[in-house]
Amino acid sequence: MVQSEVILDVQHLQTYFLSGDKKNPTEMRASDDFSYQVHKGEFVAIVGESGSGKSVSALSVMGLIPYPPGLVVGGKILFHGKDLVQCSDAEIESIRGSKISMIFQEPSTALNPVLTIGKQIAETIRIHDKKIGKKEAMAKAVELLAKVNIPNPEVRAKQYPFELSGGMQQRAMIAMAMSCNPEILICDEPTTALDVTVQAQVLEQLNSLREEFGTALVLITHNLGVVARYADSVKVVYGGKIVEEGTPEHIFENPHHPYTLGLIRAVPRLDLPRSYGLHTIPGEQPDMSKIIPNSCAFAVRCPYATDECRCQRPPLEEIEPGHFCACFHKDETDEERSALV
Amino acid sequence: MGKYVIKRVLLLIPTMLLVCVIVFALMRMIPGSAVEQVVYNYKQNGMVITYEEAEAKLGLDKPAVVQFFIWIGGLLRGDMGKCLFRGDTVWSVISAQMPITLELGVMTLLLTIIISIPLGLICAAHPDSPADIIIRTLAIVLASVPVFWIGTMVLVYPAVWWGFSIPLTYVSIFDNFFANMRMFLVPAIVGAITGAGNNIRAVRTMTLEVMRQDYVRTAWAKGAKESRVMYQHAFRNALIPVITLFGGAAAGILGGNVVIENMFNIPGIGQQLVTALSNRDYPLAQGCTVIMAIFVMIVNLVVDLAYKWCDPRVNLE
Repeated sequence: MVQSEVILDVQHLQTYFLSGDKKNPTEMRASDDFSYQVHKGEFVAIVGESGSGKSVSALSVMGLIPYPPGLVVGGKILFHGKDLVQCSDAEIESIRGSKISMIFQEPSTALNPVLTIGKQIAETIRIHDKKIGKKEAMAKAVELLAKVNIPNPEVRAKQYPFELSGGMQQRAMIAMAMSCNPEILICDEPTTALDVTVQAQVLEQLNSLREEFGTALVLITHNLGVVARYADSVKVVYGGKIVEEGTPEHIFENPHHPYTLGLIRAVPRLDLPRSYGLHTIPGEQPDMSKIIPNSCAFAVRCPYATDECRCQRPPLEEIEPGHFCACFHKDETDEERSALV
Repeated sequence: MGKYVIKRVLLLIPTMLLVCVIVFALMRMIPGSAVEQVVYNYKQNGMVITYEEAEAKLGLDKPAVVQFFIWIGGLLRGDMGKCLFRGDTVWSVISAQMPITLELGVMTLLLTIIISIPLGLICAAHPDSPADIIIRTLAIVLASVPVFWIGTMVLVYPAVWWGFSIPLTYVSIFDNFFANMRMFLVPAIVGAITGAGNNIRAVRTMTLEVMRQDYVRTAWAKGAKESRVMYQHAFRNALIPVITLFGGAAAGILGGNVVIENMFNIPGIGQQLVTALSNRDYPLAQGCTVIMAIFVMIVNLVVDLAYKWCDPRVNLE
């Protein structure tokens, strides 16, 4: 893909969750030195296991980290060169929902149960366009529902969320998020709560909207299949940091980071004999308040880890054009890589 | 909806019948009887009446079951019987005093709502802020102090300090609005603030619970302002449990606040009921209780309809 203008530039984002009392403060570094860029119209996928800080980095961009206990303590989030971290509430409110919008994991709880679908979409339109009338906004909401392939949009607009199926609720969420033609749409595991058959439809919908409106998509997921199929660029996250990034070809065909390798090997394969077994990454996601700040977060689970990994953070280094990896031992993973089928 | 209301109203009939049986039975189970009271009263006035004579005079010589059917038969014809110790019919007493109780009840309820909802929302909007801590502390104090203590303080201290006393003679609201308010406002406030303590805390907890929900985050993500998030999204949803709370309070308050009516000498139905009970005035006590039961049932019906109004997921059919 031809690289176009950078619209979102997240630099060294640090979002911490502070807890404990004054004498004994603990900080959970949910997102630590997290940097990425989003180009106009790009499909960016952020991959990682639960609790790796994927959602936190997205919520930080939206300014939706609940304080207390969460706080963006460092870094910049530049949207068209403007730092969202430093913005006033009013400024960020005018960007939220109109220029950058977001859809969430569980559509059944993310929609307000006591307002009709149409009202909730019209509300977003009216928040960002003070001149538009109630009726006009409602008509536009119906139009948007039709756009996301909801049958009988006029009827559906007058219904409450509980009267819609999960897939339809998520479509309604997408319609709401797209109502102001945002430049970036952040999707936080948008299909996790849906049936497998509906998942594909919703993703297809998102991708076609992206192509139609030129909206950049940031997809947070742990579904590697989706990533391989749609994404322009993939960031693999572990312990609040990006450990490897590149195009899907880089990540799936030439992974270098031990964690990425583990992730790819953990995908169940139906085309292999059962004796092949199911690969797992030993151990579990560490408590992020206990990781030593200057160390590789994956070191405790990594078969290649040495003392160097435990007292120094590996920098993100370019290993081929557009392919970055943060590991001291990235050159030693050849054997495991060649074992990928 | 209309069908549901009709169904509920029809259901009131068997419920009322049950209430009547229980009220009647309970009255007869109270030790001591109206007859002894009459004999005693005659003796006090230097007259003599035998127990049997008094019993016959009060219509209590018949078997209890017969008495019950006489009473129920009267009720069905709209006749609640006569008071035992005063010349009036029960209905004339109730119709004179029920509006007074209703006035006090409605004022107390409105004040409770006006006090608790905004304060609860302020607390929920900024938990653990100084405002929240002050309001919560106040709420605990209000919830723990008994109503008769606050009532006494309010009656005694203004009189001691400023020579001001709350008028204790009842004036109808239709005769003199201001004189009526002078009498009712203070007891209504006393009733409201003692009730508000728990209600503030409940509104706060319920709204905070709702603030944690995903759809509130969605509202923020839309770019809505705080006031919009609070009222349109959080409070609309918190209203559902809050209605249950105030519905219960309404039933209690409209049933007559006996303590406040007694302290402030308000001739309401609560006060009347206490007198009737201590005199063993069976028809009057039964009449008051039945009327209160009807009110509680109506309030419950209104609360159920209010659920439907604020939560589309509620299916009344």
